[in-house]
Amino acid sequence: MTREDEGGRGQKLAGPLAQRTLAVGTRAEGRGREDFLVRVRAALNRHGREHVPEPPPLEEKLVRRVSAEEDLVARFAERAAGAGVKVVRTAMRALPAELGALLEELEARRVTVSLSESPLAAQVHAGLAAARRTVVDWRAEQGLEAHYDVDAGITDVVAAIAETGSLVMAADAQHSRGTHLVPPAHVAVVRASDIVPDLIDIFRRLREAGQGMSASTVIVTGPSKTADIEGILITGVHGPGRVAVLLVEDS
Amino acid sequence: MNPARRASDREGAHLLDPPLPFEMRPRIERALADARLQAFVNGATLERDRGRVRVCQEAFGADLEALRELAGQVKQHTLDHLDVYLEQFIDQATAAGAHVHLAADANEANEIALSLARASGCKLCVKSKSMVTEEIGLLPRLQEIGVETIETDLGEFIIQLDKDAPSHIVTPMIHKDRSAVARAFQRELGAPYTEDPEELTRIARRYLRAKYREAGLGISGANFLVAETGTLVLCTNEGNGSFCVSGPRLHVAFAGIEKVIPRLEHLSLFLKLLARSATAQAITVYTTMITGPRRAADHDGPKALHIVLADNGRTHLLRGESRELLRCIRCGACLNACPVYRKVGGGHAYGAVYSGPIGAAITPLFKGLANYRDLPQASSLCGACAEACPVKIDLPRHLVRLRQRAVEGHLTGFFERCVFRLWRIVLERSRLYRVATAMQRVFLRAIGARAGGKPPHGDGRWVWRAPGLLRGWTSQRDLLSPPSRGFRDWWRERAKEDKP
Repeated sequence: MTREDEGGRGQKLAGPLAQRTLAVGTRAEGRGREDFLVRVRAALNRHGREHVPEPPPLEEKLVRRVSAEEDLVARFAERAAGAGVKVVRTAMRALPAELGALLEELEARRVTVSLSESPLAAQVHAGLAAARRTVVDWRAEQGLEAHYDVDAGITDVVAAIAETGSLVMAADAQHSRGTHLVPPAHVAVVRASDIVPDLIDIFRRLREAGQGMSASTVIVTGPSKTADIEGILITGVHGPGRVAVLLVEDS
Repeated sequence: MNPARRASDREGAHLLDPPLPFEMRPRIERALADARLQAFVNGATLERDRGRVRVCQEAFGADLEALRELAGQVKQHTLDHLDVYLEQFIDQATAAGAHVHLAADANEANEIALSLARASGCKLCVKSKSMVTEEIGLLPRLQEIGVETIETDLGEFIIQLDKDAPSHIVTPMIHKDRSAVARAFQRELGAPYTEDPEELTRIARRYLRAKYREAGLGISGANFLVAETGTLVLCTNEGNGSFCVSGPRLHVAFAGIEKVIPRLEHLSLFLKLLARSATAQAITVYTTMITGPRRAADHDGPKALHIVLADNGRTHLLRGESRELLRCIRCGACLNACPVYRKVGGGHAYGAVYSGPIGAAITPLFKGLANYRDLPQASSLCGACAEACPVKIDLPRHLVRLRQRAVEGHLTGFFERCVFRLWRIVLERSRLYRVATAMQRVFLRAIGARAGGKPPHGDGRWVWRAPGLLRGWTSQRDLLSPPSRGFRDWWRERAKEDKP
């Protein structure tokens, strides 16, 4: 691509790419859009626009499987383990040492890191320094490149889900899309307060973020897997084959 | 049919894009003769089907029915107001920085993709699963303009290498064994021959990683489109989807217009049902939600996101009763539940992109009933598919309607029409009916007499081998003839006895 695109909300693509696409097919602006929608309306036997109706309500009682009253930490740990995640329960003070031990077990010398600034992040960096691991700066290379050459990616999370043992990560200035995805191992540092009960809660939270919602939010449950070859379960196909969680209970 | 597409080197293309009208019988016969294929497909689908039942029971218990009903209602509601929700999705996605294109048919969708590819100057494309791209036959078209497109889902990758075609919409290579994979890798990738699945996967991972790093274009499908926020949702277990949409500078996503759901919160309902129905998991390993291209502050992610919403026959289904078929979330549960699908060795027998019960219902609507008149017949109407469907599509009803339309459209064979005309004549006349049933009784008892053996009750006789048309039936089953006296006669005599 010849021109850098600023991307970002509401901004149109500039440069050759935009000009080319204007000439093709049906764009979502102008006549093309109306023609398309007219066909849809005709199929629905409708002849004009109507406002957005109310969809059937999501009966919470029916859809929710885990409520806030339960022991969310225990439930999360159990479900994550069931999904093939190694869960290490620890406390803030012990975090650096536990991280060191985990990286030793994963034989991870070089790592990339995506963390929001916080006391948790400080502890992670302390642990990395103490264990003398090399932190590769993913900002120094284009796209996801930096992550291909490390042994593990360390991230915090936007949230964790007790119902499924899942980790939720979102891309932003401090968080690369590749840290939890590209290296062969992923270590997630999760606070007990990060854990929400059910999938319902995640989407409520994301909805609240509104326009501020990340361009890429991922819910990850366990290591990458496939059973395409004769139904045999194999991990680490594209994403990491090993996922570990440091569950910090006193924060 | 596009001649350029026929000339593609993808031999597997003919499997799902056969000459029309499609003759299902030869493929069925081939599959029935292949014991190994049967064992394979049988094992894979049965296990998934049982797994679905088990995990749904564990997770939802008695609430399962209500959840399926709710999911069906949300989908139906969205379809009933699809114009509004589509507009909302377009507006929201555009506000988030994506470009939304509307393709009326396969040609338009391909043209949009080709022009985007050309303008980008990309020569290498990495692709995750998208049924729409299979419908429109995108890959050979990209090939023609010099864009190498690599399928990254492991099963699809292997199938692409082997010039084969997928046989299941979720688990595409249930018809292939490890030795076929080993041969394909050796032949196409120059890898040493190994049948170890772990080693084979490592070979694929290494190869595909190199491609991820180089590719300028990423193509994906979308499992859901959220109208409220303009978000694309991709569900994979391997993570290949995430690679395709995070690495390359241009991301083009394809989705059918029926993939829209109203709100983000509805995802919780559909995600809880999707993976359980598809692969007996609580949730897919990766659920990636994309809202627009990279933000200004992001370090990575595509600079441009283009979303192609395809009609390609869906507005045709949107009319009238077939609208319900658009509820489909492509989980594959009906394929796994269907005894016919199992027996015919999977999707290749259906000769279309969509196979199994859902394929049998929508393919004739997309491609013309005259072209695929065998598909609605390939069912015993047992209803396993309707029970499995997480959005409660009453598939047997749709198959029956297609059969009705086949009769109305004079698409049934001469012999079949004669038989049913005779059937109707006899059933409309009670005297003729009685004569016919008497003849049947006499005949079956006569041929049954030779076989012998005591029946469970009454004085019916076992027929172990019937001649003519019944031979096929009795080759697998014993047929019990009617008793010496029919119910009517018995009843009449009883009534006489009861009278004082």
